[in-house]
Amino acid sequence: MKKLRIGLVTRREMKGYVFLLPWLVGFVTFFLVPLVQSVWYSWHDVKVTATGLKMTWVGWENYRYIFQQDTVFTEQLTNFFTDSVLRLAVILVFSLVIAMMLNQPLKGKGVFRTLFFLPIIVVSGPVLERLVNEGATAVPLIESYGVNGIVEAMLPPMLARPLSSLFSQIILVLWYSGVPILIYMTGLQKIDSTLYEASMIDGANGWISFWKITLPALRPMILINGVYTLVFLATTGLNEVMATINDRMFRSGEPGGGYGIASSMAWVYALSLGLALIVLLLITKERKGKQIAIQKTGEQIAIERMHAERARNMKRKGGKKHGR
Amino acid sequence: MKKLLSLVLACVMMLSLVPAMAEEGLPPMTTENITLTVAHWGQAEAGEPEVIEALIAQFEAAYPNINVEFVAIDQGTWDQGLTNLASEGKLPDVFWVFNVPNAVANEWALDITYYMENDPDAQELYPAMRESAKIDGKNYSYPAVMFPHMMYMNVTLFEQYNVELPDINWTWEDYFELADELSHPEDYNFGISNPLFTDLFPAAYNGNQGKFGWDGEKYNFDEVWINAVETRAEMINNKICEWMTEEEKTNVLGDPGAWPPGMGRTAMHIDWPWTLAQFQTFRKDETGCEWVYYPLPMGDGKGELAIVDNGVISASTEYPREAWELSKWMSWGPQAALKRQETYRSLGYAVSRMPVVSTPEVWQDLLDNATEDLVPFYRGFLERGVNIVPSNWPVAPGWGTIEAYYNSNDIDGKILRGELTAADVAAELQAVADQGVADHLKVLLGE
Repeated sequence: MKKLRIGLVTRREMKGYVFLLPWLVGFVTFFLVPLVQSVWYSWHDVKVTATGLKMTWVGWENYRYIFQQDTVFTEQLTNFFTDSVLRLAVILVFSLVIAMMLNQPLKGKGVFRTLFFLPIIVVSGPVLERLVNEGATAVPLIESYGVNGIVEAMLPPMLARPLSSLFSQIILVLWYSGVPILIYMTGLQKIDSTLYEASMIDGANGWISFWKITLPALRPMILINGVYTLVFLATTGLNEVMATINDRMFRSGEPGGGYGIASSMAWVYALSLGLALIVLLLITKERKGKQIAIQKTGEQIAIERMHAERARNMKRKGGKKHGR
Repeated sequence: MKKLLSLVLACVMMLSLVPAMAEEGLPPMTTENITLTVAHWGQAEAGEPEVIEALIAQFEAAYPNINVEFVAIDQGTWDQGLTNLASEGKLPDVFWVFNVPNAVANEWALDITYYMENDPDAQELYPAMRESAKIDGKNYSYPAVMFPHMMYMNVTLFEQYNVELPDINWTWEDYFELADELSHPEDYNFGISNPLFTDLFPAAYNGNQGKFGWDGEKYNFDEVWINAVETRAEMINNKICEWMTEEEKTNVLGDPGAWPPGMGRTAMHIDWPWTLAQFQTFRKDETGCEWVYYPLPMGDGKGELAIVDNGVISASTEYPREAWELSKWMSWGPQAALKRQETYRSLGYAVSRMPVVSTPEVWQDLLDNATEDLVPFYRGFLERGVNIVPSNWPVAPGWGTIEAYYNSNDIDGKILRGELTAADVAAELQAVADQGVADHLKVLLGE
């Protein structure tokens, strides 16, 4: 029997697919059909009656309704994206700062890491909702000093609203930083420490090292964190857009309600989110010619070791020659 | 002795009802062996599972050929649960709904006008319950249970300011006079709290009207609404109505989230039966205040708004006649009310879900078994001949539109701050409401 020969690249690709397999199986089993169905629904007036599903073709009417008649959804969608810009910036910066601090040789580093990650595990949907309702996600000082009032008085409404919203949920926003901190830390640990040594020898201080070494090295991590955070913000149970879509599904007796409208809203939301992710990708994309190879892959490390060994051998051999 | 008498009375009444129903108006019940399904919410509340069990047992005893199965649906995702059941073609024969128009639009609800008009027991329902719940002239829902508004009278404050408690036949004019006398903002004691006048005045002064003047066909932003919203603003601005700021609550009550009515700071507080338990127990102990519970004051229209839970008969039921009967025995009928009351009493709980029928025996049963502080409230229902108007928001078309417009434009707030007068905005609200009703009916009736 002929032995099947699989190349190194194919083997690696296959490994990747094996890791992807659970997600693919889940997607095909649970999501694919509803996904296609929801596109179909979005072109219909859908009623789940006592005797079965009743669908009436309406074409693009549901989409027209969303943009021309529905005042709530488009406003919430705009608010979500304006809020997200600010929140994304705060989460990305805050988690980077914390990750850099936790990456220092501290005593009890593991405890601090756990503490920052804990809210993600502990605070599930209903708990989070309760905390928000109780006002536990706002800093009382911000309210007692009337910071929101000042913001609203000083800035145009377009800027004031997202800022006030950010202040009123600042603790919540910081809670969302658990996973980004972990991702940043992975990136930080992969940076070759000799680069910092070399830059110090060249006279760079910590500030310059951060901008010239740390930040460029973390660029891919910023993208991953950006995508993760945006998707997280978009799908959290506290998201108003999601709540509206969910609510409209079961209001088929009212104008602007029903599965048809809710499906078209969901697609508008998903496509807008897709666009936002593309923009994020473009912003964080590494420019050609500016790439700095400061992160080492496993192969690079192996190659470097090999070179170092060769150099040592050469040196030894050379030394012997000179000795003669 | 009283208990025994009321029990005998209830039994006699129940026995007399069975043949009466079969003879008058409605066709006879089936003699086949069938199974009916029913779904009610509130199963997490203490006493409700036992009530359901008792009601089913009572129905099955009256109709031994009918087996009843209770369908458990999570209350938090009630609509989703019903939608899932509908998509499988398994809607219960009888079920409660939060939103009647949606049930009608989804073709879940059977037209029950015939039963509503021909069942003698249905004539015991408060007239406004039948009339203002109609959609396009038809009954699709029945009122199941109600939570009437109650007046929590703080006897301690009445005594402190030497004011006598009113008669139960009091009017809204009496209420405002008393509020004035009892209000002492310098002591942080107030005459009234929870000023729901826009909810309550249309029923009180115009009779069969719900919030925003819903009369079964249209909303009415008329003089009564103008008076209600302006009175509210006046009471708050003159510090007759409790409206303490967080700062005041912190300084006076020691907690920015404190609830002044529960801390004995208001003489007449409007609330519902579901708050009763805490006032009768720990609020009383913590504050040292005594409360008695009154019916709401009356207006010329003799109507009173109550929060009502609604049910429907499934459009897909194979046994509509039997399902109608089941709805009656499980919730709105006099026999169901008596059984509910009896079960609650046997468990030692206060009755929070009140009957939707005006049947004197039912209210007499409540009065006979009431604690002293609740006697004025129940006497009010027996003696004053009030017509109970159901909360219109689960039933009235266009509600979502007018409510969203009203809240997003902060109408109450603007009138309170004097940025707007009620008369200025009434016509605009009327137009929005009319359009909302028209648009909703168009969707609802598929025009």
